[in-house]
Amino acid sequence: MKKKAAWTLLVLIILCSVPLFIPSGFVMDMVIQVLILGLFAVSLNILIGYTGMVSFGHSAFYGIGAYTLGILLQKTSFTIPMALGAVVVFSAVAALIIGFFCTRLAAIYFAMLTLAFSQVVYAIVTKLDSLTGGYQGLIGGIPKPKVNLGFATWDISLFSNLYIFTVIVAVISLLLIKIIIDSPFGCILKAIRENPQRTSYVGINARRYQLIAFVFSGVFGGIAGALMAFYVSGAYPDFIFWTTSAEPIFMILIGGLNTFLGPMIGALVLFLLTTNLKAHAELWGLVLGGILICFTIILKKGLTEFFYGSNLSRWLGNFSRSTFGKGQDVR
Amino acid sequence: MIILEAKNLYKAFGKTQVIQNLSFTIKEGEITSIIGPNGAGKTTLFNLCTGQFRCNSGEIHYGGHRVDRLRTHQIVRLGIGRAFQICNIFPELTVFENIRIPVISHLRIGLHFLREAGTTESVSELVFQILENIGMLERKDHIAGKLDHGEMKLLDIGIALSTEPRLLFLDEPTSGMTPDERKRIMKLIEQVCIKKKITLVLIEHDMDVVFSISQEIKVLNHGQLVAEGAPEEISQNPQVVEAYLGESIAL
Repeated sequence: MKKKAAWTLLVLIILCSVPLFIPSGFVMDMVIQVLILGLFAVSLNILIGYTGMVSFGHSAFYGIGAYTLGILLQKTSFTIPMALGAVVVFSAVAALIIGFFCTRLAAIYFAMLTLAFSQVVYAIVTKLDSLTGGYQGLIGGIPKPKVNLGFATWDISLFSNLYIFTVIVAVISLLLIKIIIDSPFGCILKAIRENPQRTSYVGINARRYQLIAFVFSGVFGGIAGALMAFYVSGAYPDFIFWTTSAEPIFMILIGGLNTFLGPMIGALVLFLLTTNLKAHAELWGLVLGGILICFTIILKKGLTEFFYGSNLSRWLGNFSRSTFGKGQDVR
Repeated sequence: MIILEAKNLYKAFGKTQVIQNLSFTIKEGEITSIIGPNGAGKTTLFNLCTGQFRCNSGEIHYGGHRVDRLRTHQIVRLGIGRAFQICNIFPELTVFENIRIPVISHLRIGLHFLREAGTTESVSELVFQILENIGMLERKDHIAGKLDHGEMKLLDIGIALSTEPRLLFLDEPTSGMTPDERKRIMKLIEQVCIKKKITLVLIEHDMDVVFSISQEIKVLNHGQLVAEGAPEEISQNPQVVEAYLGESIAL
C-alpha cells in the first residue's frame, strides 16, 4: 500500500509540474484527454481484462456521469465535491440496475444486453429535452464554482487549475481501481475470468461478484464522463452513443488487457493517432481499422505485454549490436 | 453417524434416465468408493450432490440441511468439496494463486476491497500450509496450466481441500497417472483426510485402489444401486464379480 501511495504521489507531482516545464496548451490538453479516456478504458477493463466480461455498453455510464455533473452544476447550487459524489451515486445505482439484468447472461448475450441498455440510456437522455437539451446536448457551459479547501478557495475556472483538478481526480480514481484489483476481491474476479464453475465450487457466488465488478466499472466510467463534461464544459448525446463504447475497447485492444495501465497506453496511442490523422478525415477509418487488425492478429496481448515479456527487447538489442557494432545493448 | 443421505433420486436428460430411484447414505469419517461401468451415472450423482444439476425428484440431506435445491456455492459453504475428473483449475494463474482463491473464500474476505491480497499474512500462511500438505510448495510460482497432468490433478484436489470441507467428492483423482504416482497420491489423500477428519467419496476405476482404501463400496449401474457394502462383501458378490470386477480381482 505504501508503494502504491508513493507511486501515486510521484505521478501526481510529475503530471502537475508538466505545465511548469512545457507550458503548451497542446500538451496539457493531451494529458487531460489521455487521462480521462484512459480512466474510462481502465474502468471498462475491470470487466473485460479482470473479470472476463466484454461489455459493449460502457458509454451509458460515461454519459450518466457527464450529464449528472453538468445538470447539477448548471441547474442547482451543488458544489463540485457534492456533484462528484452525486456522479458516483447515480452511476452506481444505474450500474446496479443494468448489471442486475446483464450479469444473468454470459458472453455474447451479456455484451448485447449491455449495448441495448446503453441505447436505452441514449434514448432517454435525448428525449428529456428540458433537462438534457435533447440532441443538442447540455450547452451554455458548465459553471465551475470555486472549490472550498478549508484554508482557501480554489478557482478551477482557470485552465491551469482545471488541469490540476482533472489530474488529481483521475489519478486518484486510477489508484482506487488498482487497489480494488489487488485486493482479495480482485483475486476472485480473476478466478471468475479463468473458470467460473470452479469458482462456485470454492463457495463463491460468481454472479454477485460480477455484479459488484459491474458497479465499480460503472462508477469509474461515470467519473471519467464527469471529468470530460467538466473539461469540455458540456455534455452531449455522443457521449452515450454506442460508438463511444467502442473506443475504450479499441484502447484495451491496443494497450493490452492483462496489464493495469495497458488501456492507458492504448488511450495515448489512440489520442495521438486521432490528432494526427483528423486532418485527413477520409483516411481516418482506414488507418484505425488497419492498425486494429494488426494489433489483434499480431500483438494479441497488446503493446504493454508485448514489450514486457516478449523477445522484442532482446531483438532490439541484437539489432542494435549488428547495426551499430557491439556494446550497445538497448536493454 | 450419517453425513449425507439421498432418498429416491431421479434424474433424466431428455428421455435418458441417468439416475433412477437411487437411495443411499454416506457415513461420517469413512472412505466410500462408487464403482460401475461408464455411463452408470457416477459423475451425474456427484453433480446432483453438489448442486451442479437439480434432480427431477428425490431429496438429498447433508448435516441437517436439505441441499438438493441449493446452488453450488451455497452447498460448498456448508462444507462439501469436490475435485474433478477432468482437471478443473485456474489455468493462467500460478499454483499459489490457485490455492489463494479458495482460501480467500474460506476466510470470507472476498469482499474486502481495500486490503491488499498479496501482503495479507494470514492468507499466505494458510496457502503455504496447504501447498506443503499436498507437496507442491516448490511449484508455487509455476503457471497452473503448464504443470504435468499429475500435478494438475493434485492441484485440483488441493483447491477442494482449501475450503476445509467435511465431505469431499473426488472424481477419479488418479486417472491418467502412472501406477507409482497413483499410489503416492492415494496415500497422500488418505493421510490428509484422516488428519483433517474429512469424509471421502471416491469415483475410481482402479480396483486395487478401491479395495485397498475403502471402508464402503457402492456399485452403480444404469443409474441404480446394484450392491453396497464392505470391500469383502462386494468382492464376494457374484453378480458384481461377474459384471465388473472380472475373475482376477475376485480372488
